[in-house]
This record gives sequence, structure tokens and C-alpha cells, in this order.
Amino acid sequence: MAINNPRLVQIVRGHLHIDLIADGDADEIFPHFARDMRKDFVPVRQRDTEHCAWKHLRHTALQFNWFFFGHNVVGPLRLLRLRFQFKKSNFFRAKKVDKCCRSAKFPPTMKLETLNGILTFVLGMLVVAGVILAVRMVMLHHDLRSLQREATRDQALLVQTEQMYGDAAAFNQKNPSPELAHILQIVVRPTAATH
Amino acid sequence: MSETDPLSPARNSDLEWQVAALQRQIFLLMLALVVVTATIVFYLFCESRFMGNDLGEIQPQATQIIRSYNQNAQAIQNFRAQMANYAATHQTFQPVMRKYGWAPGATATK
Repeated sequence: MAINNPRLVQIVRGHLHIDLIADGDADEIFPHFARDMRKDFVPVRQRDTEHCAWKHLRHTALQFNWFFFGHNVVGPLRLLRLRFQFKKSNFFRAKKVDKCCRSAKFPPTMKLETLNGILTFVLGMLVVAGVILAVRMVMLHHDLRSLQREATRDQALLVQTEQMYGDAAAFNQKNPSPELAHILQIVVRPTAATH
Repeated sequence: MSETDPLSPARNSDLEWQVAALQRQIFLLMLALVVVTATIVFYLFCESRFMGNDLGEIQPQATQIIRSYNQNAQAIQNFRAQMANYAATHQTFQPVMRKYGWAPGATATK
């Protein structure tokens, strides 16, 4: 409120004079809705941008003081002009960093990583199965060899004893001997397995 | 930006290509390793199966032979010992026993 009860004309024309008291909002109103969101486009922009009185003591209508900190809603021609003017600014540098970060995600190779994981799992399962089969084969081989060795030795002893019995019996027929006949009688004729 | 900048797009693209090539190579090597391992496992499976069949066929006959020898082991040992003693006292019988590895100094052959 004015202090000395001014007239209506004084109030209406008051905004043409430089006054330390702002005729608008005392709080600063930014020309954009949000910052640090470079990827999104903002369709609405407040063209009549104003700052509070303590920033600078004049209106900043139809100017874009905060343009380069806002969203890039400019057209292609204006964008080219801005790139020419502000090539080394932080705005475009941040854009380049974003492009680098976006290209470092390697999206086409993600399938190979999944396939490599599946192949590693299959390989692990095959290795486990191979170890189990190898251990089983070693045990079977050991059993088979020991059984064959023992059976062959026993078979050879049986055959040899049977042949010895036959030779002794033939010798006894040629050269009869009561002692040898007694030995052949008390001993049961060994019967070797035919296999 | 210089070429040595880690954030350079060209260098990043080159690194991406190298990573993709390495992953393809690892995939192919892993595939080859899986094929080789599967072949070895298949061979082991077949060999184990055949050996199990062989063992199943041989085991009854071998068990019968071993059982027969164990049943007559004592009688066989006695017979061979008596024959060795007889050969030691009768020189005409020694040629028969020499066929079976008997020696004049030995009392019994096993």
C-alpha cells in the first residue's frame, strides 16, 4: 500500500518510475519450470520474464536472460545460431558428455553376455557330468581288471592241477605205483571251470 | 577434445567395437569348448556303459570260477604238495612235475 494515500493516476503510472519497491512479486520468478533436465523439451515458456527488484531495477520483458539455463525448445535455425555463438559453453559440453555416456552402454552385446552365461552353465554341467562319468569308468575298469585277473589266475591253477592229475594218472598206468595210486584216490579230481 | 580423452566418441566407439569383438570371440570359444566337452562326456558315457555291460557279462562267470577255486583250494594245495613229495622220492616221476614248474629243491608247487 502507498503511504500518503496517492491518487489513482499516481498508482497507475507508478510503474514507469524507478522504485526500490517492486511492483510485482517480491520473490524471484524463473522463466523456466525446471532445470538440470536437458533431455526433455518444455512446450510452455513464459515470455514475459521478470526478476525481483533486488536483482536489477528494471523489467526484463521479452528477453531470455535464463534461456541458456533452460530447456532447448528452440528451432533448428536458432539452435544452429546458438551453437555457433556458444560452442564452448557448458550446455553443449554437457550434451556431449551425455552422448558419450549413452554410447557406453553397449546394448548390442548384452545378448552375447547372456549367451556366454548360459554356455558357462552348460559347460559347468558337462564338466560335472564328465567328472562323474570318468570316476564311474575308473571304478568299473578297476573292478573289471581285478575280477579278470583273479578269475584268470584261479582258472589257470585249476587247469594246471587238472592236467597234473591226468599226467599222474597216465604215469600211474604206465608205471603202477601203490603210493601214487593212493595219492590219486584220496585226492578228489579237481574240476576246472570250462569257461 | 583430444584423441586420448577417455570420453572421446571415437575412442569410445573403438572400445565398444573391441569389447564386442572380445565377447564374440569368447562366445565362439565357449561354444567350441562346450562342443568338445560334450563329445568327451558322450565318449565317457558310452565307454562307461560298454564297460558296465562287459562287467555284467563277465562277473557271473568270474564269480563261478573264483568260487570253484576257493571250494577246492585246500584239496588242490594238498594234491600238489603230495605230488611234489612223490616226485622228490621218485626220479622217474620228476619229468612229469617239471612240466608244471616243479624244481627238485622245492617241496611243493603252488
